[in-house]
Amino acid sequence: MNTVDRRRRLGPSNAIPLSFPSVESNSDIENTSVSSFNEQKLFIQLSNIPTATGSSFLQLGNNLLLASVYGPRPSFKRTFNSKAVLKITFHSSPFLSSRQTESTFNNNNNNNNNNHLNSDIDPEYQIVNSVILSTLETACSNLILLDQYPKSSIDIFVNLINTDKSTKFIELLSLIHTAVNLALIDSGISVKNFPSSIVSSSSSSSSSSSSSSSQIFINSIHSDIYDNDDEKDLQNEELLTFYIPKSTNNNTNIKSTLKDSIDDAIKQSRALRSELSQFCYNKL
Amino acid sequence: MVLSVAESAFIYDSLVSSHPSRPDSRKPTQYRPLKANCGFLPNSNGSSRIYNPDGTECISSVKAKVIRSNNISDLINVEINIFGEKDNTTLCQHLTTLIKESLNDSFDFNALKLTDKYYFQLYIDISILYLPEDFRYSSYTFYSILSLISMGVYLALKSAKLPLLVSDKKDFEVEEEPTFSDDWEVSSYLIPRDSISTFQPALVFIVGIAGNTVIIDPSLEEEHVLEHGVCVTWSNSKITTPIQSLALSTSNNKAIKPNLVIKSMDLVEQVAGDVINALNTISEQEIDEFDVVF
Amino acid sequence: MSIISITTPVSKNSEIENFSKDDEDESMYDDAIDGVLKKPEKKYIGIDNRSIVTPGELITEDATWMRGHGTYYLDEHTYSSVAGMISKVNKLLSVTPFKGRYRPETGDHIVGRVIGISNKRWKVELGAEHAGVLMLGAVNLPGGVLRRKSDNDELQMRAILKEGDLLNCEVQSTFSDGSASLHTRSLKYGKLRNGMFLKVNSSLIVRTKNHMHDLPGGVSIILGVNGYCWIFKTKNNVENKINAATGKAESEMKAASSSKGYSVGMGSLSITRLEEESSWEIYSDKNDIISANIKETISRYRSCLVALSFCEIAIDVKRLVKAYEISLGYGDVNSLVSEDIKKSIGEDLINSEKMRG
Repeated sequence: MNTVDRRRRLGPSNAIPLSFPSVESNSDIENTSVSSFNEQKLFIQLSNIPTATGSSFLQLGNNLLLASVYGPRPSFKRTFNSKAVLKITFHSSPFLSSRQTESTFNNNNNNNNNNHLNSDIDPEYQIVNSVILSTLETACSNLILLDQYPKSSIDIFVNLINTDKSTKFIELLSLIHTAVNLALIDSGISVKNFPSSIVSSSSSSSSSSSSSSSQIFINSIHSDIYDNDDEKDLQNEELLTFYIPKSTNNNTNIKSTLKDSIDDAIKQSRALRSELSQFCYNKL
Repeated sequence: MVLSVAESAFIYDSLVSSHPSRPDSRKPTQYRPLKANCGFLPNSNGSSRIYNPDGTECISSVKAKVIRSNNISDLINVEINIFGEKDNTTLCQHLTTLIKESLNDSFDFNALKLTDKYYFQLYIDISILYLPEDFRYSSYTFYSILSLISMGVYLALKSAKLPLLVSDKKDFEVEEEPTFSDDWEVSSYLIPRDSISTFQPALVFIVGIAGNTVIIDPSLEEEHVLEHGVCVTWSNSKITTPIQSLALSTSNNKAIKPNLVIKSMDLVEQVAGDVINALNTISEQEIDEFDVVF
Repeated sequence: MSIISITTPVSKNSEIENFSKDDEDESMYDDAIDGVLKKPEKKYIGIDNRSIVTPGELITEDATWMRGHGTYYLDEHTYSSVAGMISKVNKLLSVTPFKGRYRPETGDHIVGRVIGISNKRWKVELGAEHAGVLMLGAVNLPGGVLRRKSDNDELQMRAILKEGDLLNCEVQSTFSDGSASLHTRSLKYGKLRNGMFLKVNSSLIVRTKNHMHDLPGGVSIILGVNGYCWIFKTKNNVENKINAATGKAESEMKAASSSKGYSVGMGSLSITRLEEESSWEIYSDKNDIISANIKETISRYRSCLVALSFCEIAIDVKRLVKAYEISLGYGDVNSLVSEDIKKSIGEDLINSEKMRG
């Protein structure tokens, strides 16, 4: 998990034996039911990697995710940094037999081969690493108070252990963000506010088929302004990052439905946030 | 390049004031003057060169290859090469993903259909010729290049020509490979120019956000101080996907208010028509000599 | 006013006529053969009749000349190594290139950007071959000129100047490798605030006695010899006097306008003033409040500078002011972005100078 620790910053190499507590045997596991998508139960475990500053394990259906945060630790770069450098690595485990992650760079020699493999994957389900990384980078740099950690670096690792064919990419994206958010909360690194990420399907009221709907992914925090009126308060939400992928119905105008879908997403995001913060409150 | 505190504060204050003024005195909706031309690479079906006054230059080429496939999702291949930047950086990969996604979303694949069995497969190669020398130590992410790349791809696609098919169109039963006319004079445009069957490849706009101000086509200086960026895709006279938030700066970024997302879309709607017209004018100019390009 | 302008690039040499290719090819071929067959005839190009040389051109066969920059010495002959003008100072022969990066010379007033901090010194980017060096001892330390630098200052160098900061300084001395040592030991030098930065080609800046100018419209400019320019709001009156003392012409103007009866002799008060001025204030990062008007003037001057550099017109303060006046005729600042207008500003400027002679 870690890079070679030549300077022994983490102490002797055998200080902490590498033992991952088995999920079942650990006593302080808490199970919380969160009304997330599909009304499935979300299983969360925090601080499961002892060497990491903060970590989280998420299970939703067949989706298993592990996020870990290391740092802030000193960076030995030659140039001076007035704020922490953020490094994010996404790794999907090789056991994912059911789906391929898309290699954005088809190297030419096995191009045909690649095309053949990709051909049976619906784009909605394809895991696109670059989208995951860029949204995570945007979200985390907006969320973490990097100014408070000069001359240091924060490393975030996300490991996708398992997933299944019925989870759309965008749903997976929101799970990944949730995992990272929780790991950050667990790590005690200063963040602006409690983040929560959600996928909202705004089935536009006019369209007859409920399945063909545009989806929006947001990761958001509450801004420092509060309003008593719930409707007005929606405007006080701040989006850390958002992503709108290809929608199945091309004929509707995205812009016209966007406002509603954002509002909708924010409402859902807040519901999730209150449950998550309740969970963290009990846990930490 | 890292801006000094006083410098970035000056630019930021000018941007967020009630009468936003930009460092190069543009209007919020105004682009920098661009230079472009297309169809100058003799070896590719379509090509374009587009550059900014600050020297950022993008050369794109479109090549077509005949393949036997019916899978639409791999008919368009995009590869972006940024000079001095490795292929596997997030910047490079994400630019590729966004361009590819936007094209896949908007493309009329009938234009690529040759026969019942054969399709044209497009290889779009994009090369960014100039990266600011101090990019690695600076506080911008260079995602603003996306808008230039997208315009380059648009021009290259618009100028792309395909040879005329001389064999039979209906070859479902026959075991025959398609053959083409040798005469380049009878070639047709990849994107038809008549008004009925024409379509627009997607254009990606980068909108920068600071305070309540939204600006189009942020320059590198502005990118330093922008709080958030939104990439909005425009095709066939409406806003389409992908729409995504991008961090344009690493020093000043903040979360974005929902109403600003809407505002940035308004901005795109406002300018998109003019941009498309300007690009179409360029793509319709004929080039006589290949030398005149450089 | 259009939102976007896209034009096809026009080659600058398009007006060069195409001469008949066949003849040219043949004669070039002959030349090439001649070159192989016999040693090229060494033509003497007198210093008297030619002053523009290209690389490899023989400048003189006289070995008594001393060889400076832009030349090299082979078989007792001096050749040019760059394209440029020959310049002679006593017996020193050098070639000044038309283009190229800035080469610092002692006494140059320049603008630089801090790119690094190391042991007791700042590294300053000047657009030259090497980064300039600004020693901790060569700046005005907060708290007055008479203070000696202490260990404490060494520890908090980043509080004085940090990476990215722009400063206004003078070349104290140059080293043989082309790098420069800088100093800011004067109140007219120091950290820059309240304005905007612009880089032009250093060869366009005309070397003058004074490089800091007050322009009409409440805006001042520093035209760094290295091509780095800083356009900023003119400082308020108290500080203005110090500026005024530095430039004779300006000080006379100020003396006339100043209500307090300012005289040149008062400039010598600066020791006491130094103590007042060089508190931490001079290293502050906070901009003054700048009105929208001033901001617009700043960006108009910036656009004019861009236009001058676009037309490759040598820049001095008179031309800049003239260009500013011309630009006012083109209406809104936004319109100055377009290339046609930049070009026509340049043409107008040249025409008006021709008229004056």
